[in-house]
Amino acid sequence: MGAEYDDRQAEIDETLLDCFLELGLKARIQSAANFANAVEKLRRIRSAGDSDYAE
Amino acid sequence: MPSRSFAAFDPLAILTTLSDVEYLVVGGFAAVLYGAPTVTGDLDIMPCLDEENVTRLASALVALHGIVREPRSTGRRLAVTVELLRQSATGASAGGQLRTRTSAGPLDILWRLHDGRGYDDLVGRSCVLAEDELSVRVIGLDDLIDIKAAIGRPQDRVALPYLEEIRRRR
Repeated sequence: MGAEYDDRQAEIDETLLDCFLELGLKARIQSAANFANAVEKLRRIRSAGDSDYAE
Repeated sequence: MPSRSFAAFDPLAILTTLSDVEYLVVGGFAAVLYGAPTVTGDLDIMPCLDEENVTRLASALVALHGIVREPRSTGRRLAVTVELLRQSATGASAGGQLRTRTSAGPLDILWRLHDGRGYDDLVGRSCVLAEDELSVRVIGLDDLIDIKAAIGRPQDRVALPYLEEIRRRR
């Protein structure tokens, strides 16, 4: 952890940003939506234990 | 139809339905549009308060089966109507907003920022991002950075370094 972790995290952040900036507007919107939907689905599975969402 | 169960967030569908409405995308989704790789599960817009525009916004929300987003405990499902939207817009003070849920996910309507500024104060520095038939007016990058720095919630602090780097590269 510490400095090594921070350097690695900065590298990941920069790579992520580079990739996202290369996307067109629609792809950027769709990627963000896909990510948000996946996070929401996981959140619901974890908070409710609802098997309807556990595909 | 909208439901309180999981409705997949589909911002492209919302933006397409809002094509006749004058508004700025603000908040976390504005950061996404500028290229910040951050997660946000709703779309925040700031509409022009012109009466005809509010009517067009209401029509779009009806098309999207919009309902007012309230705590589940209330058990209410209040549909968004022209009258409701006009009332909400007329009475809007600093930070005034209407949170809605649509068939394409959450859509929050911010009439004014926390500091009282509205569409007319921000549109001059805004920017239009477009691809093919899709055209979206987004709050200016400098304004977005200033607002996120001022509000300072965890999600704002996550987005800020990306936004500052995007500004640096421009």
